[in-house]
Amino acid sequence: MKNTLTPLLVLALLAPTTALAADWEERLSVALTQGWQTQPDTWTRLEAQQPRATRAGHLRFMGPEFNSEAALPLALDRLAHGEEPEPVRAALADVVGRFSADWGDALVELLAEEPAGSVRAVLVLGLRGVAADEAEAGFTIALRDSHAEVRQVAALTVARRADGAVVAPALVDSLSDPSAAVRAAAAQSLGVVGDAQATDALLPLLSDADASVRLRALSALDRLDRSALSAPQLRTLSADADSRVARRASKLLAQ
Amino acid sequence: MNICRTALITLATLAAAGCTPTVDVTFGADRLAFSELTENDFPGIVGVPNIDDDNENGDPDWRDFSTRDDNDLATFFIPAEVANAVRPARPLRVRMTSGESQVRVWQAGRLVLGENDGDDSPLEFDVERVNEDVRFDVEFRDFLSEATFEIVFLKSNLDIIDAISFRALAAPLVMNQHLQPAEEVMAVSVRYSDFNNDALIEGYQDALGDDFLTVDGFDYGGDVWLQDEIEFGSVSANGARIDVVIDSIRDRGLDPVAEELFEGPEFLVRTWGDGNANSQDSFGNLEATPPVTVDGVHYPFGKVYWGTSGGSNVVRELRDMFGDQVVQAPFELDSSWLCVGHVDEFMSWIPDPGAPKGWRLVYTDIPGAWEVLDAMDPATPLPLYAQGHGHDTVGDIVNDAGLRALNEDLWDDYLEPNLDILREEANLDDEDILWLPGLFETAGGCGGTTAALIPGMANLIVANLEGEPTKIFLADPFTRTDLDDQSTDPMIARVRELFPADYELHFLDDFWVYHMGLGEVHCGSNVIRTPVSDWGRSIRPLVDED
Repeated sequence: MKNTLTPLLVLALLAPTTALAADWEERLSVALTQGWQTQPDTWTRLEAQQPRATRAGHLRFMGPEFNSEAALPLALDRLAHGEEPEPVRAALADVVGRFSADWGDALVELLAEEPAGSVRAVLVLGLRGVAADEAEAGFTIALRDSHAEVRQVAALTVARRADGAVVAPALVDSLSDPSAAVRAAAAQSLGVVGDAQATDALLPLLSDADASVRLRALSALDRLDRSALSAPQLRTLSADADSRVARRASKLLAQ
Repeated sequence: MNICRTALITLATLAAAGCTPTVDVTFGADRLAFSELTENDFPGIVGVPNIDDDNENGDPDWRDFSTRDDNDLATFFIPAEVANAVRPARPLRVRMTSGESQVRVWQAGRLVLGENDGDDSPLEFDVERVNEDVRFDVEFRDFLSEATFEIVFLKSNLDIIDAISFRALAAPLVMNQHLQPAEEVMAVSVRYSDFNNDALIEGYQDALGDDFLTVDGFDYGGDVWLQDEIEFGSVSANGARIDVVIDSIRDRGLDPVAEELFEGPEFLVRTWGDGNANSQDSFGNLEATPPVTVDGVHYPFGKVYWGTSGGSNVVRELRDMFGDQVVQAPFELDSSWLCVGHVDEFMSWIPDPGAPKGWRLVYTDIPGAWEVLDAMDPATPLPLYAQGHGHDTVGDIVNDAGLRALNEDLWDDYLEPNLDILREEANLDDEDILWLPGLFETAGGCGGTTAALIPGMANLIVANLEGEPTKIFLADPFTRTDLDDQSTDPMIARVRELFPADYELHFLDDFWVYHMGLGEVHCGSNVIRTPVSDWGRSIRPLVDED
């Protein structure tokens, strides 16, 4: 089971998208049929394309032809229905996520159904560009994902949306995530989309055991409401064992 | 004035002056006399280690126990005047007082001092009386191999009449830095069904002609990251030069390139460490500053640096090697915030004769990037950013509050602290910095870490070929709608203002093959450079301190 959501909750979250799910499958079928009929040579070429190793070692599709909206149906089809290895599917998720503006319903469903956490962690970046209701549904799923990297990237991606504040309450919940990377990411995004409630929730993280969480909480509070940071707190943090935390706190103290 | 110690004079003159014979020795092709050395001179012999394979027998020349076919030996001479003063009751003895396993001395093809092949190693040798200069060839085992010598005139009772002592030191391995003149630039060409890097290769070829080497990517599995697989260095002294390929343990498609393209009699390939490589072991993460003076200590070869990422670091053997070399005193930067985690992703160095120290640090300027983008019409379509990053227009980027916050944090928590390290380790001043616009973005498949959003222009190649204007090769930022017209790109216009006016800037299209692969121009290129010569005097304080 890839998701920590209870089956009932999954059903509830997917309920608004269930009808759409059929839509995207139908739209995909139409798009594929059209593509094969109108550009058989191009699609034959695209279908055969394989990702290549990035400098970091993971796979990515790099050519202009595959990285295009026109090629999305093929990428989506390979991701949703293919049986390719996980690294290839992560590369497909990268393309799908970037061109998912009109395919948010598919993205949300794949986030719920995709078995590999590494693939979902790439896919979730696509929530940056989908419609508001689809983004909210997607974040709700992703922020509760069993895979910490999915929750982390989801938390980071919230801040990339102009309407990210809608998801701020869920981000506040993520501040108590067992993963430090997720707590740090949630704090980072709350610094952009948060409000007074977020400020209150961020303050305890200044004493989090993990330095990256303390750092991100400090920068978020600096953005949201610098007055919430007391001089004693800053003095304590300016002596933090982590040099980045100490540096940030010292700069704030000096201001 | 002690005439006996300050001039090389004939024995007859010595006798006429009533002096007892004195020892002297001259070093190298220039015949610099020990008796004429000043306080600041390196007191001895410098040479290159005999680690190459001049006779191509498969073994390093040091193991051959022969000086035939060898051109990597240093020399010293006992002048004729001194050798002629030898008498049966007044031997002139050359003693090796340390370093016998590191240095050998040959005379007329015969081993006279140092490690022998299975036999006892001779540690002293009496010079025969001759009326000509006596030549000795000195062979070094490895980088910075060292020995000390004493040459003495003895009385019959073995009391010392006169003695001098000096030192022999092999050149260190020096990793190249950007102020050294470029000799050859290279990159890997690749062609796939729908994309290739022809534009980058042709850009190099047009600008450099025969000084550019195209490596066929077909032979290397399409691995274009030539900077990551190898780093060039050299050892040189007294006109002798051995180029060295420092071969990474990365070992992807380009693994055999060092042996296949470069290894030869004067081109050594060496690897430090083994085992599973991490991204830190790629050599985009291994760079050197220009020559710097830090806390009064001059580093004529610059200082080596690399990035660390959490628990990941460069393989220990390589770190230890650079530490042992002393002369490029390594330091570390924090590259944990980057998906690939290489120091070349956010900084570089260029020569700049107009700069206070003759060079500038090229460093990523996040506010400078926003300044250019903010001044653009937000409705400007950005075709490549749409395809590669999901940002259709300038407005999509400049109105992204999360992206702005991310980059602010990267500046505050990583870029600025790294700059502080550079201020300390490279004696960097604000006036030494050339601020080059750049932005980063969270990258897919990278655990929440980042990669360049604007193709990373700080990731550049310096081609400072002799007799030509300095050419800088960097990524085309493509911050424009008409991809074919660089003159319409405000980012390019801004960057052109930043570099010295007489530099040729070549903005290469690296988007699909490199940028989308999380690297840029420097990552996919490499340069062979002319070694720094005449180092003996300048590294003395570093070696002595060590």
